[in-house]
Amino acid sequence: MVRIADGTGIPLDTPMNVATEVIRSQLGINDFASAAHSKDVAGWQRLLRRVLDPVVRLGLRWAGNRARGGGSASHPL
Amino acid sequence: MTSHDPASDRASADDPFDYACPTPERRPQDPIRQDLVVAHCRAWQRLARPGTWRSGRERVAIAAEARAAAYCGFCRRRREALSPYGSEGDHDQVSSEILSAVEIDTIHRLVTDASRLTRTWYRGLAAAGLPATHYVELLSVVVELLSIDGFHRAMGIGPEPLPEPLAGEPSRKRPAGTVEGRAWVPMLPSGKLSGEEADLWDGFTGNVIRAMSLVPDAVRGLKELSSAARPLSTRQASSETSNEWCELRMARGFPSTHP
Repeated sequence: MVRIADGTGIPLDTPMNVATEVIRSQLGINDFASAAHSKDVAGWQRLLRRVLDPVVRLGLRWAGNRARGGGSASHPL
Repeated sequence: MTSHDPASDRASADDPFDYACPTPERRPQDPIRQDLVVAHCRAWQRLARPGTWRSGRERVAIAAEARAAAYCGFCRRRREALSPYGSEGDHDQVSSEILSAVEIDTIHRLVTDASRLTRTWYRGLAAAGLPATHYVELLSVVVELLSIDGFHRAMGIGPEPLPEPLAGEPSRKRPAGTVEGRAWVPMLPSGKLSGEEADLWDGFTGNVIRAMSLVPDAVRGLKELSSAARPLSTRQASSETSNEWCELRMARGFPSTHP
């Protein structure tokens, strides 16, 4: 997958670009040359991320519980 | 001179991906899932057949060259250079009778130094006789080959002998509706597709899948291989592993979709 990305110059998908902006910066991933293929995250996208972040975390936790086998809406998150 | 000639493996390819074979160096210590065996066999059949823009002979030659690149002395020196675009030299190559110099150099760069490829380099390929369609098919062959070879290496077994190429003409069918601008190569748009490409994806899909859509059969092949090679994206995944994976992604702030 990485080789396909490097070989075709694709940017990060927008949701991934927005969701991972902070951790990519912390890990220094943005310093790699191929990071230039992706656009900077816009101010409104950062705002949207801040709003959606708690919901996404709950959703991920629910998905984790489901994968464990107890998955249902009644399963405690 | 290269220390390994992958093309010489070809003659012994009687029984592809026989992971239960009696030869110790070709038999993994752990059992291999049957769907992986099937996916690898089908990848080898694809490799030998004429593709969309390339004959079976060219496709197998690309695979042989991709293996040879790992042992290329010039690539090793170029990888150590500050810039990969200033070095001159000759590759340790095995397919010069079938592939052009630019194709061989492209394969070697993709295998040994892919992270330093640039848009400027890519733009120069078409002028040097390697159009986008042919480039995407070449890339798909390289990626499938490296994926299967990597699996063998991880399992501690030698590489599978390459298949004998099959005769026939490439289909030369370019999909309609590709768009330019998001990547170096033209891609089909995200969203629901229609016509012959309707099976490629349903609705939104990631750029890494769209990247190969100039050659729809490349997308189909990679999806098949990928779904067998990545149990986390299939129903074979154990619930515990999926759960651990999700929790790890959560902790690091990544979304839950599998890469």
